Amino acid sequence: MNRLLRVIPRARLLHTTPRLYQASNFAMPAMSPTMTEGGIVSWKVKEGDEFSAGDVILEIETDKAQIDVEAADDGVMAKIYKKDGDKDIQVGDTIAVIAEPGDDIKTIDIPAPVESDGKPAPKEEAKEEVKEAPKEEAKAPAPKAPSTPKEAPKTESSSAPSSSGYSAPANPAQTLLPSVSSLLVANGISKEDAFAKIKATGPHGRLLKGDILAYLGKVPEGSPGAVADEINKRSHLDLSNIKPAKKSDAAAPTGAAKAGDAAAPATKAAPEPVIFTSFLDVAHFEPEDQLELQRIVKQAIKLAKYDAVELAKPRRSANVDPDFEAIIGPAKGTKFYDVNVIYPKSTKRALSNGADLYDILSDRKPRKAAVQVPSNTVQVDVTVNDKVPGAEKRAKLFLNRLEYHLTVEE
Amino acid sequence: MLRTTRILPSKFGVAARTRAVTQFQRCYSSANEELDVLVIGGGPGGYVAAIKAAQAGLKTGCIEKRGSLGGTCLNVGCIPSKSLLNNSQMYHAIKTDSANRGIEVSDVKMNIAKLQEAKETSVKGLTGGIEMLFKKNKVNYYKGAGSFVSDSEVKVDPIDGGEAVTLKAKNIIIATGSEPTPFPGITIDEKKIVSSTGALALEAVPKKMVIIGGGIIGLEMGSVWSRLGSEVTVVEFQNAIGAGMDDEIAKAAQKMLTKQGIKFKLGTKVLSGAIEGDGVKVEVENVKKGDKETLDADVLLVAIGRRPYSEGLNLEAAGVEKDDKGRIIIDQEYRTNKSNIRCIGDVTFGPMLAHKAEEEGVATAEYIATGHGHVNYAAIPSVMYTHPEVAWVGQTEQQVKEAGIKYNVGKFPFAANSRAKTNLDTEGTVKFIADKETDRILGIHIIGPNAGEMIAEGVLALEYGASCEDIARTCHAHPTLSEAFKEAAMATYDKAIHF
Repeated sequence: MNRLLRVIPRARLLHTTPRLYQASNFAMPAMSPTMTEGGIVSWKVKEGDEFSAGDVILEIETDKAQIDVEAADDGVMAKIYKKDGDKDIQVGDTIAVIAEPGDDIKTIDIPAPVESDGKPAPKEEAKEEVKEAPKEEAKAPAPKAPSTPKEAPKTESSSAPSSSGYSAPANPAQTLLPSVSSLLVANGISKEDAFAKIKATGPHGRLLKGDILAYLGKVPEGSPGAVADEINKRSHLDLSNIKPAKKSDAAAPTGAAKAGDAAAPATKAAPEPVIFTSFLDVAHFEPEDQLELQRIVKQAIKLAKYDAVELAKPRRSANVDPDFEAIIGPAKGTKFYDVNVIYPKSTKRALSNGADLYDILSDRKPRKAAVQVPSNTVQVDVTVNDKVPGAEKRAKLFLNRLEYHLTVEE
Repeated sequence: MLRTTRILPSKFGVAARTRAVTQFQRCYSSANEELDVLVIGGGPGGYVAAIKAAQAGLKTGCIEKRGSLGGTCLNVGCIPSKSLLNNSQMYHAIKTDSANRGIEVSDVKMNIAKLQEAKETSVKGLTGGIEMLFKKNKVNYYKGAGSFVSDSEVKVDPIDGGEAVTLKAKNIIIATGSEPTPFPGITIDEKKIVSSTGALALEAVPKKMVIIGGGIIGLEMGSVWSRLGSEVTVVEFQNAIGAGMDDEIAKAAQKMLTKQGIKFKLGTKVLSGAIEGDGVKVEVENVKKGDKETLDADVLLVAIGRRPYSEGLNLEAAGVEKDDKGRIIIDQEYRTNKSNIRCIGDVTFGPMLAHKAEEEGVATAEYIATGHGHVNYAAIPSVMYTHPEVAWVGQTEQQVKEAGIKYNVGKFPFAANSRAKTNLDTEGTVKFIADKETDRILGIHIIGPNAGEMIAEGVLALEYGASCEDIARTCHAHPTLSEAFKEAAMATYDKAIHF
């Protein structure tokens, strides 16, 4: 039973659902069953910011992808432990603390952060890390690294100086901006010196006010580069997260089928239903009996369904119009898939340990029929509702999350 | 000019497929009718791409099935709506705002037929103008519907019923635009239940008008008919109007439009809308509370957005891929999955704006002709032509906050601007958002008289990476509204002089 409890808090960390009347730790979420560690690309909220359900609160990166993490409930960001750009954070490590909306984060109880091995980390250290980190060090390299994979490499040829952020040498052919020339005059720097010594973060090697201020040490060295990166990120079309229309639409022999009309032509024979089957090892739960195993699996299914809904939410971007999504999306309550679970005829312990006291007391004879499904495994069949567009993807997400909830080991 | 370049037939045979020699093929291509560039769609993206390609010396054709060039923008979008907005605003001002200026008029009346005629004149003049530009730049104009035969051939069915021709082209640009998104369950007849197209062509002022969608199209059309006497109610699903605006500016705009008599129902979902008797019944539900309500209207405008349009293109024959929302999938150089076919404008990704499509049209033609082009998506302005106008460029305050950037905000009200005061038109503010440390401008948001013209300075500033100080140190003529722009920049990094 205590194993079951361990599944729930892990899931809660992802959903950020604070149910206790105090702040709760927010752990590095696992965005895929195989994810063990990841990095933080950027926080989308600051300490003290309120957020509502569905808001993206941070972007994390794995070795495969960058993923937005959304809040499932309203809340307040009470504390951020791991900064933008931090890498190799173990899944489960506390990265922030979240409070209920309306809570005063100055007075609220902050729980001790948890490392992935389950031990509380020394509090001061974590605090120090956040506060002490000098800005110029933290800011300059951090936003740059994650922004590169997003940009298509092809376009670089035309706008190389501007997109490489901080490192561009000044273009000597420029007319100085008024702020720049007045700063140079005020500080006795000649134009030639400025071109030779000061790095430019403006478009096409243009020296900006911030570049001079950084050169003079009046603002942190990394600031102009960080701003430039943030702006350059937006200077390209956002072509991330494109979901191609189903192939069947494009290749439809009728030619009249439009993308979006996902339903197959009615004249065709009913297609075979798509069923995903997964065998999940549940041995490590050491369930005491069938009933407990069923409880564990049901709980995990519930969590996974919830996760699937959350993960299927469109990523916030210029290309996603929530109105449009609401209109074209399937009606509320639409079933995307059906789940059928086949339980083993005996539990692992019953089989491996021979007769269990419980079995003896309850007069069960578990060993007989233990052959069809491997004894420490449950079989999960997910039947996709092919009438709903996107159901297959949703079913896969669900199965992914179910695997996670059922197979994750501490 | 390039037509007179040397013809090198021998070289042509060898290097026919390379981009470098396409200029020479101009002369040759008339024989086998192969075009260098064929643009499908003659809207702001397509016609600009065609002219730019022709100017680069490429043999270019453009297919358009509407019968007139200019696309949605010129025919049933930006241009006709601006005609109605401008004229209805003049009427409204004469009626409500002339006595206090010492102008005494009586018997002011609106002639809707004449109003529509003025609109038509503007549209005709402009669409005809593009046809002239095609002739001047030697773009072949095919009046018909284009559909792919293969990835390098397009069949044109002439709209006047002539014989179909198949055109072969080395490069094809898809620029077929968008169409109004229909509301599920509501049938548009363009008389009582209208899209933006029908809302531009109403023959009489509806007594009551309900608008689904508080975006730019809904608010502009709502303004037109409200000024002419309609009782307008805007129903919006979100909790704010003006999709994409800075939150603060959106709230200010809503307040000003409310003052003008437009009613808003925010956070409200439309359940159904149907013609009943002489009018339209619209059933709505408050999203949070779940209260249902039925609104009566003489005209219902559905303005929930636009969706990509590629009907009849037979993309399957070319093997061009779309995404799950019908947008044609492209890379950063506008190439589809077929590298000789490119795609720009509303039918692909990015904001659905005429000027964005135009920029892409130029860039694609340049990619084809020279191998490089450029559109800076971080500096594309948006304008809502209500009164006062709303215009913005760059990031909103909520975006900057979300990105975790430390920023300064500076504002200057038009109430403190001398020109606005003399114009007796002082509603609105200029708002700057700049990086706290470097003063680099991140976003500019204007609500006020002439905001749409004023934003051009902001776009230029962003394009050059300017700081607020750069704007403040640039001389602005006195007395002009643009001084408010300069003062807002001053207020961001230092202090405004006049406020």
